[in-house]
Amino acid sequence: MIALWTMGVAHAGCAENPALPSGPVQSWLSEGMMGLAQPTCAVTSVGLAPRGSLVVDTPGFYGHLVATGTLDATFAPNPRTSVGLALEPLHYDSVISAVNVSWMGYGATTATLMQRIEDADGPVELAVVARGALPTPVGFTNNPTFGAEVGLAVATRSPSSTQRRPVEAHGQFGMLVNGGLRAPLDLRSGLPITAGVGWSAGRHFGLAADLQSLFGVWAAVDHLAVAPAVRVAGTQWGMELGGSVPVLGNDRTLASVRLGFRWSPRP
Amino acid sequence: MSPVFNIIPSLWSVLAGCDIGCLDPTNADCVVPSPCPDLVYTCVDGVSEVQILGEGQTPPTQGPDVLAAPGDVVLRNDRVIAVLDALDHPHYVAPAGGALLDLAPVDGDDGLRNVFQATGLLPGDAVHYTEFRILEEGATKAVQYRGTLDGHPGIHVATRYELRPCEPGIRIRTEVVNLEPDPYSMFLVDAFYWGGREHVPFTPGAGFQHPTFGLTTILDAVVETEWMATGAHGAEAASYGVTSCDHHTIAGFQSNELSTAGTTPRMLMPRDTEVYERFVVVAPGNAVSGATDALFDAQERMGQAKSAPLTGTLVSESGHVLSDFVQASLLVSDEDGPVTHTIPDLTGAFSVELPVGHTYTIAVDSYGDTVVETRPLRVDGPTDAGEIRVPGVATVTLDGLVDGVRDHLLVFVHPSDEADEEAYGATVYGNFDTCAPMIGLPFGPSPACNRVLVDGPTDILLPPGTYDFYAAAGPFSTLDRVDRVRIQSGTAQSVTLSVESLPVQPAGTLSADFHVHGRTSFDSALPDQDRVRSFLAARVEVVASTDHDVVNDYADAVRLLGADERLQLLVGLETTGHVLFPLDASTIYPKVIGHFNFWPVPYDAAGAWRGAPWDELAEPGELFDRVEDEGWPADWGVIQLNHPWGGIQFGRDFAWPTAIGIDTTLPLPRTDDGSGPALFLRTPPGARHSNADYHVQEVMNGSNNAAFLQYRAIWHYLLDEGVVRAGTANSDSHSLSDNVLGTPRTLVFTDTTVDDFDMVTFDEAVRAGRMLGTNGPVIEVSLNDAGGDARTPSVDAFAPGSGPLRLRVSAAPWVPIDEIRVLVNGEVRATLAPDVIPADPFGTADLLRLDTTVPLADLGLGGGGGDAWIVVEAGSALAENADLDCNGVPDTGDNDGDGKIDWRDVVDADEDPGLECLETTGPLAEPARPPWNSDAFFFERVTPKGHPMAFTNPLLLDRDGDGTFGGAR
Repeated sequence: MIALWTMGVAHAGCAENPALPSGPVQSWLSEGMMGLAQPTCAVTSVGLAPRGSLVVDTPGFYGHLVATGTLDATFAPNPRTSVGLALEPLHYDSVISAVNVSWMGYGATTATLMQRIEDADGPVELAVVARGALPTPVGFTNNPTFGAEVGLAVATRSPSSTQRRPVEAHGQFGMLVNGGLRAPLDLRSGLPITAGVGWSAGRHFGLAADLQSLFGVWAAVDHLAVAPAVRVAGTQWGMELGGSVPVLGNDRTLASVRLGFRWSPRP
Repeated sequence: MSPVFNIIPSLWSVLAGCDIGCLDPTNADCVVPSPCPDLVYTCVDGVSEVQILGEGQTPPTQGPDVLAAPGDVVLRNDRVIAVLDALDHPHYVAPAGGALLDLAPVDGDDGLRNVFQATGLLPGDAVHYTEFRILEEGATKAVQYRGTLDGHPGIHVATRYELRPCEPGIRIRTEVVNLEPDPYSMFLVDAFYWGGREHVPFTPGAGFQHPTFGLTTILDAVVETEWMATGAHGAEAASYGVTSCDHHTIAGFQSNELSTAGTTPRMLMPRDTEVYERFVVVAPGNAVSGATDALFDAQERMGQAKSAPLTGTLVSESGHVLSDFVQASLLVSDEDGPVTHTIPDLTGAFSVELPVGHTYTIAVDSYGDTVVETRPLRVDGPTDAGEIRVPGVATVTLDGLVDGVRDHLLVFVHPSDEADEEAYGATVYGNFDTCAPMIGLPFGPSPACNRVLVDGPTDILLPPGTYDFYAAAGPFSTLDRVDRVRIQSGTAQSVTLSVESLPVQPAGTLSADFHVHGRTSFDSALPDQDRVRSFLAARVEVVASTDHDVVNDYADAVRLLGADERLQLLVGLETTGHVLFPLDASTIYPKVIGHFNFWPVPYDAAGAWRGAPWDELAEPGELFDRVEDEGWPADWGVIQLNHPWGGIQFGRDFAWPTAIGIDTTLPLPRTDDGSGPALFLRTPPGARHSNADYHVQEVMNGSNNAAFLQYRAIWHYLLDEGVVRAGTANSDSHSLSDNVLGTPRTLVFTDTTVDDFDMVTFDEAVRAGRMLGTNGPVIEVSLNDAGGDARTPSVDAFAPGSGPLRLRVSAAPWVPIDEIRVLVNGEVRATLAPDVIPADPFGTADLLRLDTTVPLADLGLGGGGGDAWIVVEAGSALAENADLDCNGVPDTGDNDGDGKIDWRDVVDADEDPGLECLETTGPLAEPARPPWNSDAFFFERVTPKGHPMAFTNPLLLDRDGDGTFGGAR
């Protein structure tokens, strides 16, 4: 497996420095990455990402704190394809209310497949994304949940005729379903839609800002959130500090913050 | 859920191959599975049935706690009867019906208030059932309720109550599923509402003693235990117990107000579920062993530990049979602590089931003391503990004479020596107040605590000691004492107390108590007959029955005692907020509106709440409408604002003005400005009544009158604001021991009499404020109006003449009066000393203490000026208290005795909070206790912790000549 991974590529067409994170901001509100927009660049990497989110609903006497640590590995066997697996070895979940409760343990397991469907050097990058979330979080005591998602990711960079392509627009829309493994199944579907822009200043610094949304899972508008991110990179490592702040919808989350580190082999 | 997927859940459940019950809330036809499948009882002649109680049908159970009404579901087998309240007849804290309301042995009494489901501590965590369904599966009869949490419409709950033949309890299964997007903190429990003065919860290892907690420390008191059971006041009560069928332990906190038993608190993630199955047993009698016998048997049937009987006989060295909770309680413990508790039968024999394989000891408590502890007994099968000998007691025959005739009296038994007060002091295994001596459970029937109702020769048992016996026939009789009676084991002696009526009560008055509770109230265990005997002993002439949330009529008990011609009953109600709701938009904290009394309210012996309306989730004005809709006569009936200042009792606001944050340093808002205090005068949208449409308020409440300064501050504030309501004085008695009935009381100046009672005339006098509040002193006051007519206190204003205030104060000789205060607009303008100090507190002379006049000029009312009001008080000098939280109401006394009142006097204040206005205050200081056996001491002997006090209603002076009283601010 490790040998296979070392055979993977870092696709150089997406950014001047493949180690610099690109594409949609990877901070997201929902658990298990379901609905999270996927970069269209196929990059082989390993990553570590602590994430936290907070709900403060004072009139409702409710608070919810989540802190996770995600390990992920993405393998790009060719410039058009990547497969990834994200694990949460550590998930801390706490509700602060009249009765404070919490759990800590293994969290989500998410597998992602991205397949580009256009010419690699075209003006618009299109990719099909499929993702599945396994019913692994230990906090779901009697009814673990699973999820599945398909989506179409899109990105374009400007100017496309030069080697240095500092500005990109990206987005993804799709459909997801999730439900319980036992009763109740409570199968729900929703439409995640993300659109945003990224900008990189040379090989080592970038910014991104997305509008993230999810419709129809728990409410007509689950959330509409702004998601800014700062990105820095070295030659093989990259980092993204991003956040998601809901501005509309049913989601009571105050903010979600993610600090993602990743390391890629030399292209 | 997206409609396209609606078919999938049912397919999924089929594929899963399991009975998912109602865990899929979209399945309208779901059936909650039968709980406790491992629990099997067999019998040949068992029966079971389920029915909905119809109009005109009498409740299926008996006893004063019974609340069943038409529409309720009745489950019955050959051993027990269970009643689940109708969806639109919820009780107490439950926001909707579907709670276990009554549960009784078929031939025993119901002792249950209610058991409802909740999943947390917040109001929105209570289960709100919206539908029910009767299930008849052969001999298995059940009813299932479905709904959601009251504050979480996406968290679905279904509960099945099931009864099978020959079972001593009811099976219950509750299913919860979170279909909200957020995780939820879940503490799924049955909440057993005991009420505070009846059941005492008992758990293995802890026995009757449980961690104390406050509202913010409840979780610290949650413990895991195998089962929970109760002991109760009153031999005719029932004991209850619960054990889980699908969890090894149950989690909960225990208190005399409320016990919880359920699953361990945990996070309920979206779509996650919880199931809780349990078996709730009931057994006759007030010993814990009734319930634990059934629980141990059930656990054995479920494959857990086997049990066997431990038997024995209790033998008193004096030959007496000791067979009630106080005379002889046997606490059976193993190496981990108490396991059960029992009371010997009338032969002295006892028998309890115990898990085998353990070694037990038996500790016998008699009159609050542990008198014997047995050697360890190994129980591997049926075991006989033999005879257990306990110290002897004595028989004392009490009798009472009033004006030379045998009559009702309340006799107080006290230690003769001050040093013995602590030694004789006892509690119910650490619960409730201390009684010295304890000769009966404090809130049960007579004898209770250290008091005995006497009507002819009455035998009581007393442990050896030296005692004083006291009695008075209310505050307007002599006080009699038989002191230093030496009681020795095995003896029998008689004590007769004789008192005489004294001409203290003014002619043309009726002596009334407008705040009285009996066992119908959730927080009382006093049977109706003893309640009425206490009316007679107190010599009250008019009594308003004001049980919490339920109408009760003592007419049957009055008839049984042949007392129809001695008193008049006002059938009424005390509405008591239980369900917190967003009352005050200026705070995030949900509230209730405190307590109001209403009379008369038509009594419906078989109706829901016995004729009362549902009294939750309403502002006072809306509540007044609801009570009127039940037949309360708005034209002449009375609404009383009860105990108008106070904090929170078990999370519920105790008083309306406090709930809305009245600040007496500020004007009362006249318009709805969105503030809490603006609710006081508001008329709720759509309501016919204003929130201020009550007629009288309590100025004195309770025999110790501890909050007098606060109640009086609110009353005075409202008078200053021109919100004129009459003041009353009531005992708020719930038992023989918490308060003495009729102390204090309200004397109503009225043309009607007990013999020829006209309720309309009487209530009109009450509403007009022609009343005096007292626990002993009697103040008669008058002032001539501008036309020369003598005017007495009332809520009617008049233009004053130039004459002086006439003042006459009298009291029984045992009622000490330190001073008489004349207040104008809430300020003490004159303090007078009595002219007479009685020479003999046990005599009949020196009743008139002061007869004088006070020129208005001496009161600062010499001429001109704005409207004013005068109130006169008499009794003890008031202890100094201060207002440390800056709301104008006294809250803290000089509790550390350093001569100044500051943060150091606040209980539990460890350091200076550095605030000008404190957030935590109290307690109030009360007048000092008189020296033991001094002349002033004897008032306390029949008015425990009380101090003499009386107040008049106001003389409202229309000094500006506009024909009205416009306040005095």
